[in-house]
Amino acid sequence: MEDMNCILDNSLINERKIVKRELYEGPSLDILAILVNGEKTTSEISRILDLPQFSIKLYLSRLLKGGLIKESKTFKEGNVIDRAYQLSTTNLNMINSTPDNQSHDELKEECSAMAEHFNRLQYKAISNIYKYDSDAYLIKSSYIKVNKSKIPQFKEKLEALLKEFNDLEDLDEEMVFGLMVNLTPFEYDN
Amino acid sequence: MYELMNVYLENGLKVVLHRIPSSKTMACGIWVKQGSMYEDDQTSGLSHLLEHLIVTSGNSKNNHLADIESKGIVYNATTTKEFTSYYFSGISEHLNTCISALSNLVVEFDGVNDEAFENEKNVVLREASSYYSSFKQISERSSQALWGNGNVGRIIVGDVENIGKSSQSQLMDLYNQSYTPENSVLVIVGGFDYYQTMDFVKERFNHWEDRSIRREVALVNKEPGVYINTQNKTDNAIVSVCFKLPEFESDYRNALEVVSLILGDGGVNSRLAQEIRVKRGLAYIVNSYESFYEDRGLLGFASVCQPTIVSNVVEIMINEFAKCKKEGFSPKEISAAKNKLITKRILGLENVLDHLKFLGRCAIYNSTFSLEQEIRNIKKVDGDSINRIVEEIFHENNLGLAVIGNVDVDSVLEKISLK
Repeated sequence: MEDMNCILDNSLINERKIVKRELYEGPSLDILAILVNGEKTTSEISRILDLPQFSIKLYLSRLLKGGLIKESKTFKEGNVIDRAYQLSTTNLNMINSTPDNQSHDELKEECSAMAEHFNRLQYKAISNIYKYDSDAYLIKSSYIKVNKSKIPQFKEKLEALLKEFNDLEDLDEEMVFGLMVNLTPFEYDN
Repeated sequence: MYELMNVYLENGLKVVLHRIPSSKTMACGIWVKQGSMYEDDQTSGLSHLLEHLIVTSGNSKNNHLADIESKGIVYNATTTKEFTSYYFSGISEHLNTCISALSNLVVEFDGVNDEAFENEKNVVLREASSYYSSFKQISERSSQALWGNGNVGRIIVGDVENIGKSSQSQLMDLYNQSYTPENSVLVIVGGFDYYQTMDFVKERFNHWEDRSIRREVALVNKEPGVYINTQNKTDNAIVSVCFKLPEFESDYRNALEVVSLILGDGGVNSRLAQEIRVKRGLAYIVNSYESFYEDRGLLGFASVCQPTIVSNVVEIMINEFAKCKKEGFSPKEISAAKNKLITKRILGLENVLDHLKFLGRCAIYNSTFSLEQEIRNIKKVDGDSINRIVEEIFHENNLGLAVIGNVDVDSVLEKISLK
């Protein structure tokens, strides 16, 4: 048997296929959604999700190693240390592209993982709209037949709109708004 | 009556002597407060390597350890998270020889030749490789899960890279920083005369120069976590569900040892062995272990089983912990466990070397010890005190998990709910 590294070794992140899948396991996406609202400690996340602290720590360590979150603060009390975490970026861009050097099966699995990610984020967003008046949200979907050659230009417009949305950011404000864009070919039967 | 003499030399060395009048044997040892918990990422493993070098120096210079062995004296050394100890045991007439040997090893250490250094590094690397390849590491991985990579979470054999690239000057720095009289305790147990022995101790240790200790103690994580290593692709996996405990001096230490015996004593009669091994045949090895440190403790329940059924084993463990909280333990179980614990203590203390090790640990913690008090404390353990501590300890926010093997950890986590 090989020597094992003696430092804390979460070997789950060593393979690209595994890291994408494992990042979406369990409450990982819920944790990301919580952190959208600002930094939190493990125990705060544990209370919100009503999950044990050791379990939250596992998912936090995956998200840390996946580069999606980072430590924002440490608190020391005697010789005990507590940590708060925040998103590495508020642009959750991880799902916007797939690498070129993947096999067909790897690509299929990657897309499936992305779909789950998006699905979870959308569910979180849409299921809460009952709390707000209609000025605060817009939920629409449209399915059309169109020449594929027109899509790149339209994509540019969407990118510009996303940038305009991001430019609205005011860190002194309390409320967080999400804009999720899903422009894809649509097949009902897989 | 349990008699202990505590003496402090002028240089700050504490000497603890426990005379057993009728004994023809003795044991003596030095405990130095330098272990893995005082290391950092760059020095991880060096306390243990230093221990090896100090013993090697005893073998290589003047060959005094070989002379000692020829008299039938047994010696050994151990590095733990909190201290490093060197000890000798044999018949009482050789006590002064052993005290001299301790002084030669610990006070007079000035390194080894380069060849011996490289040889010993290789020995330690082999020891580390063997350790990391075995399931023995599970209790330390449990500490790591509960408290993180530093302090009592730091693995004693340490980082193999650090060991490989270490230099003698680094080790001498560590020695000079931590092997000081004020940072050490000398313990002597057995048949001897107090005053004659103290005179000899002063002769051999008074010249030990006191120096300032340079040390930082790492922080521990507030919340417990998970240690996973899924690189092991063998047929077996090992899982440990562990809980944070109070420290060695806690009033609840004996109650916790009683709980540990009832739930996971080695053999087939413990509750967990009955549920996991006897009734369901899910594992061969099921046992509990406890580690009490100066500032904190750990209670772990480990099992070796097939990777695919780890979640079943964990589920059974969690159910048993929940049952303990709800229903407690029967008077018969408590009585049997207390008897086992008392027997274990007394048997341990009748062996002069085990007695020395227990006293050495108490001494380095500045904890006062008497056998009679220890037995009285065990007898006082009752259902109420057990129920109180179990209610506090057996909670999912006090729980850590360590797993080694090709295990689907997410499915294991789903089984753990203990409010």
